[in-house]
Amino acid sequence: MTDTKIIELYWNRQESAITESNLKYGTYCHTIAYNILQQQEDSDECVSDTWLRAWKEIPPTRPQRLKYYFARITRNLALDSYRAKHAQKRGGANADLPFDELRDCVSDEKSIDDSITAQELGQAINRFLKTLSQREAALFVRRYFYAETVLSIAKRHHLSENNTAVILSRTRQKLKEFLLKEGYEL
Amino acid sequence: MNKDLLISACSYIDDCYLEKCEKRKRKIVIPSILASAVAVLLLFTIFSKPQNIPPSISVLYPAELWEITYNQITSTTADGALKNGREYYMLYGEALTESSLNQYAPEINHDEQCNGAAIFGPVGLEWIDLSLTESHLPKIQIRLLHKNVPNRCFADGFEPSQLGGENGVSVVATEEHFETNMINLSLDFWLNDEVYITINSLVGQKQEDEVKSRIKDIIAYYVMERRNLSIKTLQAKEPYMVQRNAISFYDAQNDTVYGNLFLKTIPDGFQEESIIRYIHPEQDSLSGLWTKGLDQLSWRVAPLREADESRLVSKNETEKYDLSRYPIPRAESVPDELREVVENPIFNIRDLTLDMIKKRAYRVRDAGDTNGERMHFSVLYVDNVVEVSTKGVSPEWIYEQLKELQETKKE
Repeated sequence: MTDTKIIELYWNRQESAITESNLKYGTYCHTIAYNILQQQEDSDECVSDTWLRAWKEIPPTRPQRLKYYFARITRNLALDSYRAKHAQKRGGANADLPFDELRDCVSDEKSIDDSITAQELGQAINRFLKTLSQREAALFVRRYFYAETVLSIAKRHHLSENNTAVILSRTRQKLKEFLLKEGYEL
Repeated sequence: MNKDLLISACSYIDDCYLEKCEKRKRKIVIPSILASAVAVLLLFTIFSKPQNIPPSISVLYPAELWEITYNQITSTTADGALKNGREYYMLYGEALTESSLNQYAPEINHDEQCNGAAIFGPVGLEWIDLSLTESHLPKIQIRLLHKNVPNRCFADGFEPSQLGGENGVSVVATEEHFETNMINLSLDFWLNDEVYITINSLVGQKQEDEVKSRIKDIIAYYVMERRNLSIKTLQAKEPYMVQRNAISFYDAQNDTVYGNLFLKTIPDGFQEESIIRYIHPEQDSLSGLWTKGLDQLSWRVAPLREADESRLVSKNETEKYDLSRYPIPRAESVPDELREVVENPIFNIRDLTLDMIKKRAYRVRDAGDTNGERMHFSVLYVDNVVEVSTKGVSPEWIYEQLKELQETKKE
């Protein structure tokens, strides 16, 4: 079924919207959730919650690209779940998760200026991605949006694991410099 | 900033980046035996131009795994390897527009800047010069030459590096180490039947690895993304108009552009060596050279250019033109910031006095050379500049000629 049809189902309040969404994007969203949560059951739950969140938001929302709309919801839900679990198991977090690498870019301390929103910072990241080569941007998105492992990204881009890690490390350094230039307090 | 904020912010990455990262590059894996055979074959064919390159090419990926062998060379080998008989005075350059830069320059990194110029000759585009600069790295210069332009000769048996597999390119890379610990990196390859690329960078030892890695990225870009690049379609904004004509003293004095500022008479005993009218978009000029034994007089008229304006001096700024303040060797006595202007100051004819010219005159006792007064300076007449360089002609005579031109100009 086309995305437009699926969106119409949501707008017409037909529950088949959820079945069709799961049929078309279930695996895709599950992969995103699993990359972050590393747990089958939690990931299943996260995907189910994605359709429910979409059910609440559409209408009035009419997503431009349904696939990435679902991806964002899944990612956010998975992050919420990850943070909740991470808080419970303080000190025992999975050090392999890509997000820990982003410590390179920030002090991880509370900023004096708390008014910065994730959305505003997201726009800055988009500006940053524009400065990168296509491959660097793709690696960044794979690692820090989709939370893919370095090995998986390396295979996808026909790179060695070590090279991929080096490119990502340089990109994080560039991000840090970019954000500092833009006036962010890191 | 909290790390969680940055993680959440990544959820706002635009759809276009999510979409782009799903696209993959094609990969053709060449069996290693076949790849070796191709490399050996290319070793034997390196001295001739690659033949027809297929229009659509996939190359061995990734570029990160490419190995480039840098041949160690000395300055003697480097000189011997360069073969370029171009008459540079017949060329001129035009800065590339942004759209041309997008078309011919490699992808640039964050913090990197790129500018470039197209060099035209009598038969059209000769080459494109591109310059990549990044704040913490030395400049990397790329030249995209048309096949008709003479290029480097590989007759010295340099070992090439085959990059990109069967249909890739054969790169000859050299490095020359200087006593100053600087290294000159130089790489050459045919991108296709039409375009020959050279890449150069003068680097310090600490930056060597980073620059070499960046150069590899640049080659990968051209090989994988721009393999069928053509430069012949780049047109000059203005029709080609470069001429270098030897003309007579009479024709020079009657030249409609610069004749009124050309020398009216020549010093006693001096013989004409050459008078050249050079028609050029950037270096248009009329110049003459006369000699008497080892003495000489050079007189050149050209428009004042923006770059010249920093050398304009007034009478009171003696530190910028009075050579008596700077004993020889001047490399040691002239401050760096004044070096350019002290070398060739430009006086305004309205302020010019004989005393100012005398401050430019000096004598050098060289065995076997004449002991005549030497001078080098320029004089501005509204928007044109007369550049004078002499040995063996008195300041008084020069002053008289320059002032006479002012009178002629008034008439």
